[in-house]
Amino acid sequence: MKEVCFNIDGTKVTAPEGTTILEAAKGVGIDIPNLCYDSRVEPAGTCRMCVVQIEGRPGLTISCNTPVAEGMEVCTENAEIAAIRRTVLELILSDHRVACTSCDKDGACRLQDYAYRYQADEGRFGLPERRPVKPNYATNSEGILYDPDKCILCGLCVRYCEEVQKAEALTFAGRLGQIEVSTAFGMDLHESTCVLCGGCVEICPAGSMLDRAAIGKGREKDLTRTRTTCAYCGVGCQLDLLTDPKTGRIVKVTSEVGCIPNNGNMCVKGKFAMDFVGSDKRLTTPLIKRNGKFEEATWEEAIEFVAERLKQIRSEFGAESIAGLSSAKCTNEDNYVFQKFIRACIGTNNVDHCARLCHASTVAGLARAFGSGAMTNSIDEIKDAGCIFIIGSNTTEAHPVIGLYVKEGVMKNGAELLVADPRRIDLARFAKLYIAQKPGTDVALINAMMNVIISEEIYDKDFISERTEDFEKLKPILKDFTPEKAEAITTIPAEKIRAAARIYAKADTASIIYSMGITQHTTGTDNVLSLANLAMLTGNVGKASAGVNPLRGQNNVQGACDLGALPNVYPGYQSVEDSQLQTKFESAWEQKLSGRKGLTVVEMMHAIEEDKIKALYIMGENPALSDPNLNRTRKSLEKVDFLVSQDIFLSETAEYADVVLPSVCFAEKDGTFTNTERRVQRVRKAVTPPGQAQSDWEIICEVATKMGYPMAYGGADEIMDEIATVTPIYGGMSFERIDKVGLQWPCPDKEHPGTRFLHEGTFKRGKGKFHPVEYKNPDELPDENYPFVLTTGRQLYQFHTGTMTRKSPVINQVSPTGYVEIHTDDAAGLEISNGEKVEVITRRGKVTTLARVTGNIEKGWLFMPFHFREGPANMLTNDALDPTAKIPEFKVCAAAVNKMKQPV
Amino acid sequence: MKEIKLLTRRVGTYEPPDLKGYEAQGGLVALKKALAMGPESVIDEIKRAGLVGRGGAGFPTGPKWAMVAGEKQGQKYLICNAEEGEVGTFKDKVLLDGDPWLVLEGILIGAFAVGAEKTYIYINGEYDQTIELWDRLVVEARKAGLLGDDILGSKLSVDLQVVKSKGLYITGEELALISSLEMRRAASRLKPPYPTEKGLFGRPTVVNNVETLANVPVILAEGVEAYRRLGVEGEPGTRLFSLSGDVKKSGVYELEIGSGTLAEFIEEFGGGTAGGRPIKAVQPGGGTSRFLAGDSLKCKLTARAILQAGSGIGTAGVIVYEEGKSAVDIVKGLIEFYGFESCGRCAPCRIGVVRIKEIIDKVFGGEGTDEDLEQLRQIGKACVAVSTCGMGQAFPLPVLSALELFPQDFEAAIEKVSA
Repeated sequence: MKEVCFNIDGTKVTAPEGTTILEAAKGVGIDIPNLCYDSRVEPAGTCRMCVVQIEGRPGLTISCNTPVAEGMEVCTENAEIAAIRRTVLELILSDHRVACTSCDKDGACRLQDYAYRYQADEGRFGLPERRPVKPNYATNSEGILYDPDKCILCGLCVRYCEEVQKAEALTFAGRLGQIEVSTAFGMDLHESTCVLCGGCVEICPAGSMLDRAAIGKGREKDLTRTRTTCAYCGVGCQLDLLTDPKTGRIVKVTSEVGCIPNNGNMCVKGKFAMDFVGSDKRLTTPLIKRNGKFEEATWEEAIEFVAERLKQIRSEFGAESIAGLSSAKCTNEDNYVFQKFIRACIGTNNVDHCARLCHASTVAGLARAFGSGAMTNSIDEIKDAGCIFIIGSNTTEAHPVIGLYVKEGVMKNGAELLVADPRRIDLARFAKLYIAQKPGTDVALINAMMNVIISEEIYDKDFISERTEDFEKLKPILKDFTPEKAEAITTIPAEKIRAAARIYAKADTASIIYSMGITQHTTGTDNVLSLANLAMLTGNVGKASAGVNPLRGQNNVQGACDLGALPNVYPGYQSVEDSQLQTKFESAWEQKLSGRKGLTVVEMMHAIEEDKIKALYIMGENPALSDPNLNRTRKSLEKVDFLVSQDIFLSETAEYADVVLPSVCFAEKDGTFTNTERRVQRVRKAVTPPGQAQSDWEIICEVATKMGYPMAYGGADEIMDEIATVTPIYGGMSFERIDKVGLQWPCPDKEHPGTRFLHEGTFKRGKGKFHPVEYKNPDELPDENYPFVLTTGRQLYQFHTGTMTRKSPVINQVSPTGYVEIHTDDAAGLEISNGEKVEVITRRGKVTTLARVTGNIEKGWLFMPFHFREGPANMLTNDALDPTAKIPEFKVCAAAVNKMKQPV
Repeated sequence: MKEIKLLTRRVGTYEPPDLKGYEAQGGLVALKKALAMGPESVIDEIKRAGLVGRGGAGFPTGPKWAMVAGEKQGQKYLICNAEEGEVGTFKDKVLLDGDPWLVLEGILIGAFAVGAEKTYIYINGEYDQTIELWDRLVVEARKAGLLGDDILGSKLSVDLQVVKSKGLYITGEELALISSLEMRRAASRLKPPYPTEKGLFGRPTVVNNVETLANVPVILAEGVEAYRRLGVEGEPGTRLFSLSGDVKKSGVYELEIGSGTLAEFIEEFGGGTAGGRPIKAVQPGGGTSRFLAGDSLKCKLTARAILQAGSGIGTAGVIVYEEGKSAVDIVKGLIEFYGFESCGRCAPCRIGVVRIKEIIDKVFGGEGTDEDLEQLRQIGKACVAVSTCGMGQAFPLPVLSALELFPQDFEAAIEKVSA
């Protein structure tokens, strides 16, 4: 981009063409006062505070909307400008109830800062008349308070809601004298299109919008601010936990504009669902089950008990009879220590975690095609893609902040959005083309798209010949896979498949974004391979803003995989079956290791049935609600001889345990998470743990030591140093290097800057490999008794099994319980009305839930979120596995739905 | 001084929406000429004619059209601004009611020149009969093949939608008008981008005042040379002046630009002041223009002369105030109107207009102090200096100029307190 040279207050400055005067001034440390500017929204120039004088131009010019120009001479303040600013501030203050004495924002308020800077007199033009107290749109909101008496009508909240979040919930109502921020028709916020991202509260410069729950709990200037990484999804938002040093509790959560990857944006979970940290339901002391009842125990007793039982089982049944479930919620350091404990101390590779249930097929598929099973690109590249192809990802609900980048790409940068999803998800609103494939038919859709791309010769021949192999093997499979054939399978009209293929293939950069709609199938690996084929066919790998981008579901599922909480690989995806690597780890860990790969999550549960697994150590996971076919899973949990649950709550799983060990949550420990774009980021201790709860890695170290394999670290940073020595992709990581913005792997050494996108120039595996994929039906198809296709997934407001989110009153207000989505016509046929109690039945179970009648799902298909312990969707799901990745088919099963007999 | 009927010559001669009456008097000649000339030549002619906007800002019409015509792809719009909300201004109504075909012809030529297939006329919501007439006019125009596809057998397609404004002063401001048309809040927006770049629905848009568009067929029909023979150097043609206030005879008069002085105009066409007292002050360009008094009234009726005299020609709404009334009383009347009309988007205008109204009420009520007058000056200056749109930049002007021209009136109001 062209640089222009100009002059601000006598200083020579250069900035890229198009930079505004305000931003350029900021860049050289000159703060031009403003009350309506935010880099994330278009300038609106409503406060008129940022006026400057430009040599040769008459009058004053606002700096927030004026680009710098070559040779421009700008004066940001003189006596005249200062006087005008003071007058404007005094006008604003005459319309703002000055209540700094009792305001949460005292000390962190732009209006207050500028009033001080210009010594504006708040009474100069009279004090505002107080409006009669009457309810407004936020009066009944659990999350947000809006005080129209303090509102300066800068419009930042309305613009953020419209331009960034695109929820379009907020607007202005009323004319002069009575203008207020409101929702459409003044409806209650929680019933509007608001998604509770809290962006309005964050962006408010005058304390007019506040976190309701935080009111009176501490002024921002008195709170301690700790930068950390969010513990919900895999985006890895950087949050600031504001804690009261006196009570040690989290008062509120904020985020800073400019931080990577979220640029100050948050979703409802990061913003409003931290109540679980200070919940009185937290485990505070170890528990041992005696005579069917949990009794409190000391750490010494509990550790002793666990170590003894594990030793006993190992000596009686061998190391392979013990298995461990590590956790995608825990830090990299916890995961590293856990898998080391299972491998070196216990002596087995039976270690896995919930990645098995979400992206095992990604890891398997992308490793085969490209050589590396992770997101190829970075989050902020999405917005610059020419085409964004979203398939099987409800991005705005499951990864809301990535959803913002998608929307920005479409609305600001003109990206063409393709959405393929059985449900008309919110992103369909922004799509150039939305197509609804029948659940489980993704391979048919992708094959037909490739058929079109090849027959219309819009594929990248150079890329294929230079960078890939086995293209010839792909062709025969695709030859007959016409859009018409795919239409019969997917129900998508052939012409739409053709259109989709053209949009994708003709874009200069096309980025595929997918998630569990692709992976959670018996054909999960096939689905992933198909997407890899599509990307290679069009040359969309190995460059910025293109690629194949699986969005990881849990905060640290990437890291848990990276650090070897998988039964077949050591940290850094180093095979346990490779004897050289085995030797390397044996010498690093000073212990003989097993060269046999271990069992996966669902295999462990099935092995319990066969008496092959006798003890199960679960760290921070809740299979009793998260695994498929829960009746079967719960039987296994009950049957296993010895079950340890190490967790922050007494979860559904913990209830089956023999010993429960209280651990600390993300806000109470130091460490790192690795987000979905492979960025290793810091987690920092902000509050003191409840009771005797301890760090996961500390507990594991004590158990290992007690069992005769001494493990001890001075802190999480020491663990990371050890990780760096044995994990080449993390070779350059250290707490010091990632302190500010994190670092993306591969990062092999201390000088390496990290990797923004993968496979540049050459694939990890050398050449990209095409895999011909035949279409296969899902494991279970609808029939006479089970006529519906049931698919499951997440919703915005909840997370996983709800253990964390359901402690938040804000969330409970908008998402109190589970439901099943059913098409209007199907509901009419079954005489089911919206909100009515229904029964959903599959071959594996039956649950009662509420009907949500909608046009957003096709006829014959049902959708259930899986977060709710009442009416758990996983009672119904199929535990048939993908043969390669062993991921269960959560996304498709045959189901029936019945109206419940109403009590008379 | 005498009236010269260039734009208004057909007013009262036929019964709109009768098209025959219009055609019989040379109507549609310009449109046919334009279609034969091609869009670029039309724009050149308008540029050569030196036509400037008659809505208040005085922007040159030809260059404005050229900007929109320059965008070759996609939807473009032309909007005829018939909001006419400015105080003391009612000249557009004369054309809208008396010779609507002339305005429509101007719209069609403009749409042809810039390549806009969709056009709007946004009419003041209080002009009920005008709106009714225009609804009928559109039906007649469709019947006559003047709206729709293949207009007059050419390849020109233009449609026109008649929109009743929501009765807000601010919708006379072009960006607030556009927001209103988009079904958004009637509020101004930041410039740039200008409507010519990103106007209605984000597309290049021409917004022209009624009188501006009425000039277009006249220029093409009469020829640029004939048109330019009228008026003065730099300001060719005629202007419709609305005359109101303390005069014997108010009305709308079409005058050759520069043909006489402001004082002569008031005397000859208004028949002098209503009460026979001397003129105290005149606003020559609508309710937001600065007052002129004394020798300044001898300025010629050109934009440049009025500017040099210390005010602005604005909408050419001449409001006369005769001696006997305090300037405080006069500005109170004006600010009572503007005090409710800020769109509320920008802080200084939204709050400033209310504070100024409060202070003037206070001074008028005999409770004022020197500090109040100082506050009026400060708020007024700040609003003028930093407001986004014409409303905020202009509403304080009468207050500021009254304070400069008639300080004794304000001091007298204050002295009542000390006495």
